[in-house]
Amino acid sequence: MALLEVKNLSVSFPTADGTLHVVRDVSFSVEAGDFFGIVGESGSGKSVLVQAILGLVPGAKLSGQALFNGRDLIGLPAEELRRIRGAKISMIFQDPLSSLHPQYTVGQQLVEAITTHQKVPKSEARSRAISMMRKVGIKDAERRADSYPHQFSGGMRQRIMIAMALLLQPELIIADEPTTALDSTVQAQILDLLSSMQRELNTTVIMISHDLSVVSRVASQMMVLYAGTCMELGAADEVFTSPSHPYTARLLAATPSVHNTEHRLRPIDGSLPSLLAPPTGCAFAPRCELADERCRGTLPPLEEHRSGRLAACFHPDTELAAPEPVIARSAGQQEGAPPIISAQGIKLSFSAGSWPHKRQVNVLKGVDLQLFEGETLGLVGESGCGKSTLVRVIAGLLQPQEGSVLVEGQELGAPNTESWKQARHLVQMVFQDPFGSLNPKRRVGSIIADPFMIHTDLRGEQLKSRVRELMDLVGLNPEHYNRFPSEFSGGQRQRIGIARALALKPKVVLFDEPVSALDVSVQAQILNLISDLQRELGLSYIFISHDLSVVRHISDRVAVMDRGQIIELAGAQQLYENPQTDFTKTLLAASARS
Amino acid sequence: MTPQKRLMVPLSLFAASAVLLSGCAIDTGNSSTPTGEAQKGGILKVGSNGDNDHLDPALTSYVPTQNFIRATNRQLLSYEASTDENTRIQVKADLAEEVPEATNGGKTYTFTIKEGANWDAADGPRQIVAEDVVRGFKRLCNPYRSSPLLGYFQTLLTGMDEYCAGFAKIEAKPEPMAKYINSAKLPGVRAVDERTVEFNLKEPAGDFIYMLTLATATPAPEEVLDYLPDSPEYRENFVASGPYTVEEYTADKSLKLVRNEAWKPETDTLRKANVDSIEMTMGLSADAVTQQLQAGTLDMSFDTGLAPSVAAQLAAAKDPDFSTVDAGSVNPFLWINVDSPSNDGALADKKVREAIQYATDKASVVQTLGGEAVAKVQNGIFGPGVLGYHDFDLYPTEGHKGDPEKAKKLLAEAGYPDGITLKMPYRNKDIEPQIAQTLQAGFEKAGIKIELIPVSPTDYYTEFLVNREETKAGKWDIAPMGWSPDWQGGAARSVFQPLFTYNGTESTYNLTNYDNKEADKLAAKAVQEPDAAKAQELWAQVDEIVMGDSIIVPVAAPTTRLYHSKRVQNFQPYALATQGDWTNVWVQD
Amino acid sequence: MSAHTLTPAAATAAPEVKQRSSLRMTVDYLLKDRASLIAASFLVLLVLFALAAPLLAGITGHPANDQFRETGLTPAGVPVGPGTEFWLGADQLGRDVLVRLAYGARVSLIVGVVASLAAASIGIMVGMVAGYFGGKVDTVLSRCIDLVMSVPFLLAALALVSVLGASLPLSVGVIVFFSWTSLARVIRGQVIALRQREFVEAARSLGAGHWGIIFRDILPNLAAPIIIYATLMIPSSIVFEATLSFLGMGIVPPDASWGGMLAEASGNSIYLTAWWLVLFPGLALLFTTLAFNVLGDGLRDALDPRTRRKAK
Repeated sequence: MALLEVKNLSVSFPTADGTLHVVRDVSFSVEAGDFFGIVGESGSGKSVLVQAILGLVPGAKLSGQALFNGRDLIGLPAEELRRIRGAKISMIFQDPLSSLHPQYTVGQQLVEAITTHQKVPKSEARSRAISMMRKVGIKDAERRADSYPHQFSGGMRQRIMIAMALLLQPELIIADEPTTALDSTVQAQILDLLSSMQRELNTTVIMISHDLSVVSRVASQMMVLYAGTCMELGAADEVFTSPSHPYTARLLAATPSVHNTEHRLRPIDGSLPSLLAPPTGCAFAPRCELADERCRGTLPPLEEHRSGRLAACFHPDTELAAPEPVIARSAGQQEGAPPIISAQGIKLSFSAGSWPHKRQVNVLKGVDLQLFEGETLGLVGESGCGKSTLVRVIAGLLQPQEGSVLVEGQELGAPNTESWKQARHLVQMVFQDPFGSLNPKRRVGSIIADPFMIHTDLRGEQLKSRVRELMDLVGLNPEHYNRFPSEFSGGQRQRIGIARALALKPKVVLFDEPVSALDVSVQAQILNLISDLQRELGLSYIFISHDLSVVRHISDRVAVMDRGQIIELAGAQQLYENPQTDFTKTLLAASARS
Repeated sequence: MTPQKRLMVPLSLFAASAVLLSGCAIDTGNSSTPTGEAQKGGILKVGSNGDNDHLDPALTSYVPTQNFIRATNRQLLSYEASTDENTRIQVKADLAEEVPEATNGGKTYTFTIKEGANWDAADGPRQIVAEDVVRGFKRLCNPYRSSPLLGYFQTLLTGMDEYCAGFAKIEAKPEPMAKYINSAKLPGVRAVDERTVEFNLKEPAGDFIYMLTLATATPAPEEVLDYLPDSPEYRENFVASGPYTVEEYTADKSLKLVRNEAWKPETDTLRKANVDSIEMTMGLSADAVTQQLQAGTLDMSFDTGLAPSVAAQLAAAKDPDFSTVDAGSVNPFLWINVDSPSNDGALADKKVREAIQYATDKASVVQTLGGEAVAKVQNGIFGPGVLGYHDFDLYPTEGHKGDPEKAKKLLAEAGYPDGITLKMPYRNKDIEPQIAQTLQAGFEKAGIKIELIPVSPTDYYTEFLVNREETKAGKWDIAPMGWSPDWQGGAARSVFQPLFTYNGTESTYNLTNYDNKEADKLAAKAVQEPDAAKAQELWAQVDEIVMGDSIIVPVAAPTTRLYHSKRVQNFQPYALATQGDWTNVWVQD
Repeated sequence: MSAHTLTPAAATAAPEVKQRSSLRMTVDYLLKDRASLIAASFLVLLVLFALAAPLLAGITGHPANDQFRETGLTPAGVPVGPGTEFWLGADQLGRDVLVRLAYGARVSLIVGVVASLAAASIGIMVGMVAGYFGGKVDTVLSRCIDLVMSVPFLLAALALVSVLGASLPLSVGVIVFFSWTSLARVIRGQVIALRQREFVEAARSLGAGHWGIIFRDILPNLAAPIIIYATLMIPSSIVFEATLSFLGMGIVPPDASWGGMLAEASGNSIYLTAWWLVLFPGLALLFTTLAFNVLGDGLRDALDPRTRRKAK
């Protein structure tokens, strides 16, 4: 018998706008000892699905069955569910810091996790906690048990969360995006830990992730969700290597890979259907190149097309159009030409903490960087290495204590000086978070018009037509001039951000993780847009990402940053094929496995 | 100023040389008549908002405190507590064997102290002697804290000016003060022998015997020289001469009086001392006291009055425990600022001031105060009960409701056909805002616009009325105020002198330095007139002369409203306290 | 992104679903919130009542400041109670309580709204400047806020009024002076958070000046706290005015104000016999402040879903 068997589960929310059908008629089963992966983009319903079963989503309306050891969890009283959640099912969340109490040592919290569910003497609970900490790879566990959560790194905290989840020897562990907040090297370690723990303790794990490759690495079974419906279900590695459902296939084609440099990314056009009024047919049909009348009219059932592989599609295993080849760049680095941006000996430090623990944190320790016309310089490194700070220095948002930035040979002055203002016309920036970087209370037209309002005398109709041109340039419908940012999807918002950055016709655009908050299908659209714009407008880019495959895909040269310094700088191909430093090697190794 | 609340404090400013005691008439003669034989024993429970101003009789000037002084201290002369208004204001012998006639052309008074009238000294009862009387007067101008009523005596007693000038140079410590008192001479008060004391006045004063009833004239035992006046040590070692003495006292909280065993009833015809003890609880609101009196958990009020609305109700129900006493006060009256530049100095024009007289709706103010049962329309400067009060009205209007037409006519004659605008400040306290609005409504009918200015109680006199610069600048044009004679009875002098005389130096409460030599002359005659009927005649003339100048608009004369619990029998008002006498009531459950 | 699957905004980005404006959503929410609806209706009625004050005076034949000493008072000055002549009774000077209540409503509403708007403007400016510029500016302004907050407001208000003389503008001024601080603190906190947001950084990188950022980028994002706090400031302003008037330092008689009516009822102990003098102005004050508070809470729930109570 399956440990968890979900039958025809639907989850919906009544909202002010109508009922939101988040999960529709999903069935799957997880056998004991399985490592089951659930993959989906934003809005696929993957988290809600699991949380709703466990009674963690207030206000949700559920129908169907979720049999856990043969017992239906749907409709159980809250108290009963709470007991099952504690003792039989453990959860690991994306952000370990918010799951741990900041005022207690991790040892105390681990001990408490045991003693609330089991009658065990404190000393025994502690020794069990410490041995579990050792097991999840925390060195010097005896001593570290007395540390507070903030004294651990993100990866270590996630290890502690795993230890906590394992302590009560639950029958099922649910890991909801456990590695999303972590750097790629740490991410690999945590994934390894999860799968080794699963094997060692023979626990059943359900892992939820937006990243197909992450799931395929560790899971034995995989389910792909789209718009609340199950698209494909099967052995994880097989789904990854040879998808049956066109959605899965397109998702893979949209993902940049370190190895794939000869093809353009294939984005999935269009966007997720509204969950308020889900299509009657296949949810993916509006975006699917294979879709016909049947697909749009009837919901394809989840059927076994290959052995052990189920797909909800009328055209399974169909070969899709091949991706286009990469269009050759017009300009590369021109030998001998002066750099358009030259940063020299940039040093920057913040004072952190409060008295008496005030200390200087050296974020940039003397960075030299040159950007040449027409090239894309990728900047990679783990979080906290200073890469975001560096581009902010180049953008003139932060002033370094030492060193200088030359833009077209002109020194960038302090903010609001004439030279600084002049540099606004040359250097612009696109930010990571498409939700955060657009003022939610201003209309799109006014956001994109901002640079004109600040720097030019353009007003009225002229201004409007310029804004419309820009919107057209980045692929936004100019009719949406009067909408608010919240009415756009993440990808469209990032287009708005790019349009705004291009308004003053700059020569250099700095991208700070422009696609990391986006779903894979959208990410590809934006990456292609960025490449196209560079080619059309002859722009120079500095492109930051923690994702090495994205950087590889887009960059001519790549700089690797570690702890405030550039430790390696080389042409993209050269760096990826022949890394010189250990750090770069580890970085590449971690990403290659994904 | 609030009638019945505080005696005028800055009396030393007054050039007064004599004070008469006026009658205080009981309006409704239905005060509780004894229902049987006097009963000894029991506790009299007194409720109060505030505390006594001082326990030392030399320093007190607070009307309610006079009941405490009467219970614990005796003077040479005093009054009988009585519901009969005439009896109540007749000077009676207390420590003195009799009320003496003046000799030496009205300038000398000689008293003999009763034998057996004792101090409750620490080492046993001790006869009160003539030296104690002298000591009492000698303490009045001590450099530490002088008596607020000192002025009356200093200007009258022979040699007191010199005595006090010498005392002012002494260090304000008990020892040097005692030394001065024991050594310096005060010719005006002289111990002739052990029990005989002689007063010598600079000039005759028909009212000197009234002055001797004041707490200020209380003899002082020799023990008081060991302490500063009314210091904590003084209070600790309180030496009583009346039927009660202090047993427990916590300032602003409670006071308990018990019997003084040294007091001999046969020496005291004025105090029956029926109750065994008197317990005073302080810190209660006026409404709380009223409610507790009705409930019977308190017996009498110390300093709180009865709200007009409640009084009107009780009066209507003819409650036997309710009575009123004329306080002799005029409140409100309106002072007209003749110096004000407002309306091009219109108020300097007597015609305009007369228009204001006719425009005043006195009847409505009386109604606002609680109706005829608690206030009367007032037309002269002396309130009812003050010797000199008589019923006249120089500016008569029908029903005292004011005559807007006549007022308008007078204004038009004076050159103000469109009326005038007057600034009227008022104290932001109790019923005074409503009186101001009542007056305002009346004036508007006569084309006199009133601009009301609310002023906090503490600032009213200091910032507005007595501030000559503000007055001359016209910060106010017309201002309601009140005046109480310094005590009941022939206090005409204590009304006329401070308010309506000006001899070159400014008198605080003569707001616009009003001066009428003719009135002054008549007043001087009245002060020296020993015959009450003739004095009354003279004061009445003074009243009419002042009113003829139309410097103030008298409006109403409120009565003091008295109320007590059902337990209280023989509730007889004591003139100086304008409240039932603690030493004569008895309680009956 | 698991966090976004729960929010309707992310899921309804499809073009066919028309996104409702935030105003529309707020109004919809309020219409469903019965308490807010009742409060809002009460306030509408109150405004009508205040506007109808001269009309009421005409119908009853009792102008607000006219004293009807024959019909409204007994000879002993006791006011007559509610009846056919005086619907809500007469006061201690024989004036119509109903008409005065209506004129008092005008004062309360004007003071409440004007003072709140003025206080909100100051609070917004100070809060934005302190929060945006930070550093020394913030320290100085925050200390100013602390200073104003630490002043015992009633004592200071009374002192001010007694020095400068009571009047309606002064009352409003005093109320404004003492009520901008809480909003300033809230705004400062919000701005400190907003300042870190990427869109502010984006504006800076575009070269926008400080004031441009403050007014064009930050201010629009403060709409919710401003609306909520300004609404909640109204009842406290009304109570503040009533307190001042109660202490005789607000509206100058004979003009009616609720606090003044209560003061006149209590200053004279007349409430012991004439209950209607306390009851009606008291109830008016109570229900008005209650209504504004309920509405403010409702607005908060509607504008700021994070604070919304569960189970609707």
